[in-house]
Amino acid sequence: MSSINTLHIGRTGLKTASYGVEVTGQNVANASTEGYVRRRIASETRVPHRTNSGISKGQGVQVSSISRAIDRFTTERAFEALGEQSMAMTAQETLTVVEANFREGDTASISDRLDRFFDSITELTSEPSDHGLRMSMRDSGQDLVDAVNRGGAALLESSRRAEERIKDEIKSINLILDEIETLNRRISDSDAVTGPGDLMDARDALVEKVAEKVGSDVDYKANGQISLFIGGHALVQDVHIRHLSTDTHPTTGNLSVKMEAGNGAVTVDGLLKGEIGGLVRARDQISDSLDSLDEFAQDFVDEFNVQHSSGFDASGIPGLDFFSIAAGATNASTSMSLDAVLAVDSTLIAAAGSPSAEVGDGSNLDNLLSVEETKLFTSSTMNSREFISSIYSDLGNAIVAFEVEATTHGAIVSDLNSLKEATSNVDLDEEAVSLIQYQAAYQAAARIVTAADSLLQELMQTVR
Amino acid sequence: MEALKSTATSMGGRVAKLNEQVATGKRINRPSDDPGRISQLHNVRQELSNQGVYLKNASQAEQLLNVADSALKDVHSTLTQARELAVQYANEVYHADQRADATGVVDSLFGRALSGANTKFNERYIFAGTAYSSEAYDGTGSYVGSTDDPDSVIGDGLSVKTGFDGSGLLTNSSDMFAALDNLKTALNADDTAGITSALDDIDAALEDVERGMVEVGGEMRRTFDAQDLASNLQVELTQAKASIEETDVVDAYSKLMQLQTNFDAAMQVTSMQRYSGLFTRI
Repeated sequence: MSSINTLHIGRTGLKTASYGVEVTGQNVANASTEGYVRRRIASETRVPHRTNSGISKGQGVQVSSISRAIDRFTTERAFEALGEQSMAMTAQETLTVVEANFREGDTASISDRLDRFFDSITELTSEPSDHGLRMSMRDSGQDLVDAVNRGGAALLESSRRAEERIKDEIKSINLILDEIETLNRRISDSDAVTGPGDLMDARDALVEKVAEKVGSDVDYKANGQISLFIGGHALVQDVHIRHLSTDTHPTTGNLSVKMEAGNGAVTVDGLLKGEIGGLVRARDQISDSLDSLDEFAQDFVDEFNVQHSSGFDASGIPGLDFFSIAAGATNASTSMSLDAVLAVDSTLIAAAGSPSAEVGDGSNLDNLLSVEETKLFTSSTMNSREFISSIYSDLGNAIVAFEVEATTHGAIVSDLNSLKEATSNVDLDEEAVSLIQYQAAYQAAARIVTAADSLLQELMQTVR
Repeated sequence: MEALKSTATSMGGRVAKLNEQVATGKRINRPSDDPGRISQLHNVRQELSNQGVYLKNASQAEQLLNVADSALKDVHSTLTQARELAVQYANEVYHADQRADATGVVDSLFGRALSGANTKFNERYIFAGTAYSSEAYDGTGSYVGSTDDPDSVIGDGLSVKTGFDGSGLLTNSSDMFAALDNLKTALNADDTAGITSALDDIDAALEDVERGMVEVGGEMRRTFDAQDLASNLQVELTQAKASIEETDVVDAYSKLMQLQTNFDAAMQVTSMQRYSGLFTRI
């Protein structure tokens, strides 16, 4: 066995131990770095040299790889749960802001104004020709209109804001996807031994952002590549990505989210999770509430006007429409108003039941009051107040459901992150032990080098 | 640390909700606080609001009906005096001059009856039907009002008359003013048979007025009953509303304090954790 070979073997030991200390140092230095996954070196025996006499002479040790300590299954599940949690939280937060326009006990609420409007009609029955009571009914009608307008406008604005946020987030996501593509290319080109650890850490941070923004099914491959799927559609597959985009329907004006596909684009609204998915769901709930409020405005106005027109005003002339909705209006709730002529002349309120319109004839007021209890909505099962209450409670139920979902998935995310951290996070005690081991290995390898050197010195002395 | 982060997030929302409950005194401040009871709460509020208006209308109706009742009693008293006069002067002991002198009294009684029939309340002629902005009876005692009764809503599906068609109430099957005119004519003509005939007409008029008093009394009873009902409902509905939407402020405040204490303790425990591992020993 040559001393030169022994020196060489010692050198490999020094180099491997040195790698170990370096990697341990890297781990300790990044113990507090967000998203850092601790590294481990794997060493292997170098291929032995076979002599002419058939003896295998060892060639020392080498570092085969520097790997990241990651539990792929737990990490994939954690990203997916993050998408679910993020979706529920975003939807809940968005709808909570909308709900502020429908507070309980608010005297300006639609429900309260509806009650006051019919109360004013009841009061008018005591004195149908009283100017003050007529004005009170007219003013109460205007208050009701204002509340419905306000509710519709708030829902429209909330929907618009949600869609603007969706557009902004889509732009942001596409930039992130571009970065993931770049990292994936670099990872596939990286050194097999040292590995693309830092690149993978950076990519995982971006994947976490994608999960938080759109939710995705994550699939780590053995070759270090990663695939992200949204409802079975590949968003990222190795070095190939598909951008997301938004599209506004030409007739309805509704925004939808699309993903690039081979033959065009595929709509992925219902498949999204994450913040964007939450915004889509919140937007959909807002749209439902707005549709219901529009339905209330249209049907209530139609029925009330029918009854009002069946009566006679203070001059004995058949009643005009009490309320009006602009022809061709997209949203009845924001277009509802008092009839422009009646709004300035309360004598046009059709309280009388006959053209003689005596001062005490309030018989048509009974017909107007009957509108309060008439079941106009939901296949004639709900009256006006019940329908308005259902709009409120549907919104409340949606928020509660998202809150429960956010709490449930939050607990799952917390558990999975704890499991992830147990595998991937730096444990200083473990690194301290590793440091001691590599120090000892380095010292031992240095002794081998010293011993081999001593033998060489002896040989040199002998040969001189 | 993951556990603390999760704890802080969930506590933040609960603290905000409890703070709101303590500040407003209400358990339900927004639909999501209790979506299942929103409809019930709105129902109760609507009913409570209705009872307020019903009480107001009923109170006004009660005042009007009291005035109507007084007016009818006055008319009845007037006709009773006319009857007594007719009975008196139908007696053969009186001669023509005395009967003629009595016509002044009849004129006075006619004026009182007309005044009673044209009684006003808050500028409304009570016995003119829905045409209550003008007199019910003209100077000759002819009815010039409307034949419809005005009414006012004082309960769910419940209305009360707030005026009367005089032709149906006061002069339904008789004509008191014609009867008084006839009495005056008979007294002037010293016509005892005519006086007797007028007496029969006055009796018929008295029956009409008495029926009218019964009708007004009936409306008054309905008004009182409606007011009782509305008052009782107000109390019950107020309690029902409170039980649905109001919070126990003391309980909410103590929960808030407990939550705050728990959070402070969690922060304290976390701040006490510091590294004391192997690296400090090598």
